[in-house]
Amino acid sequence: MNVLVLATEILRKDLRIEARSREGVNTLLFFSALLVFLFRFALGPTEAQVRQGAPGLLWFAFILTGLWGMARAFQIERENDCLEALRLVPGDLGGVYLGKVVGGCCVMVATEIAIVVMFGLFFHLDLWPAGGRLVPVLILGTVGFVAIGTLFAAITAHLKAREVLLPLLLLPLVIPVLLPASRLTELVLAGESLGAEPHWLRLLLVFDLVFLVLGYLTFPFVMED
Amino acid sequence: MGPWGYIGLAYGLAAITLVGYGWSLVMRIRKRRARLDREAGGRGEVVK
Amino acid sequence: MDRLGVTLGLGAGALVVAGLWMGLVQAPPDAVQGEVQRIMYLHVPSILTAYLAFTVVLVCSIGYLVRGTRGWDRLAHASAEVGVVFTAITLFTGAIWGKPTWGVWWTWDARLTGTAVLFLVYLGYLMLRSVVEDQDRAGRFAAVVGILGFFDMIFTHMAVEWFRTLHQPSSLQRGTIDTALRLPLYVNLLAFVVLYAYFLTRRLRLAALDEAIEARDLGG
Repeated sequence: MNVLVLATEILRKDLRIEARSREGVNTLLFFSALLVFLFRFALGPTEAQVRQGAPGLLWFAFILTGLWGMARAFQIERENDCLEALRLVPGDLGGVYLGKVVGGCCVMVATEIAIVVMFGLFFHLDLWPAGGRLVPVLILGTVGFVAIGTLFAAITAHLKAREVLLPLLLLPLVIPVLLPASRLTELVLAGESLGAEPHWLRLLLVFDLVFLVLGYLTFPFVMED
Repeated sequence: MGPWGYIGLAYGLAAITLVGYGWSLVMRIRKRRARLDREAGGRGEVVK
Repeated sequence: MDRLGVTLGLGAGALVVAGLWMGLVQAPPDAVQGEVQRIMYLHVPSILTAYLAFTVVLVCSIGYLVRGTRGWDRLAHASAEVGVVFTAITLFTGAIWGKPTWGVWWTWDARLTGTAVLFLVYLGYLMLRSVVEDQDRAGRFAAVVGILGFFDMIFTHMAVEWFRTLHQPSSLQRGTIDTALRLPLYVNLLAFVVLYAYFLTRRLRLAALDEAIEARDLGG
């Protein structure tokens, strides 16, 4: 089967599962709301503090929800004994990877937008002017995160200690993506344009690409029995 | 602490780390080999 | 003991002694930083050796994924472990150098943080190996970390060039280092590389013995 056809099939399958149960989106939304409230308790009532730390806090929230989302993508397969079936998929397993990455990005970006909106609402941040530039930053940061996240979710799905190992392996490795992404978020929230510090954007793009290519190439070895 | 104090600390810790790691490797090798030798003893196998 | 191991061990010992003498006695103190700068003769060779070790991990990881033979995997594992040891040395010698130079043991400088992250990446590599029972599977999983980790390493190294940070940029790369300081540095670097090779042979020996024991336990 063609890689792209395969990827689309996997994506459609995952989205259909999600549309029917809505388990993932509901849990993620609830969890995000909880996080936003927790930030309020952690930082105290002064909004200036929250505003100053906003880019970091936002990415912190994205990482926490993202980790859960990544793990879930393969947990569903494992619980239903579908990992074997995925392994036997005709054609390039890289297609399965791409499908999972696109699906993961969709769920994560949707959650991120929800978090940003809640954040703006509860901390009185005027996010509308930055919105148009913020979304591309979110997408670019998420692509890199999900590119490796999917790979490691597949690895840790087999292991007993997966809850601990996934963040432990994933977080240090995605620093090259998280750092530029949170820096660009900071710029955008401060009202600057994306091109204000082009080296950050370049860095983010390069690592997105590197991680995607490496993920695509190594995923079949991870799935092998 | 003077400059030589810091130098001593850095070189000392590095020495402990490297010697400690090397020592642990050599000891573990020795233990494994002893185990293999012991087990092979009755069967006349040669273990390098 | 095999001849290669003995040669490398003795060579490393002699080179380390020579390096210590050159770094601590023969080299003049730095014009700006004074005597404390002698920590450089430990700090820089150890990070460069760690870079070498992790590059070997990358090559062997690719080799293992492509070929699937145990030798590649064993070499990658051994090199990662030795690399972690050298990264640890880099981190604490850096902290000890930082205290008299910057006034603090640790600062959230990009280079420092990056190196600490690198340490965690390969610690994760070793941890992953220890929790996966099946050797082939552990090797494949670890190879993925080994390949990705290399790109993290490049990021960390380049970080100093991209961010304006407290950590001084690489003197070797810029060529801003005097010959009187350069020669001791090279000797120490050579000593560390040979020491790395020696550790590698020991670690490989250990892995071979472990596998022999395992094979015996299984085969009876």
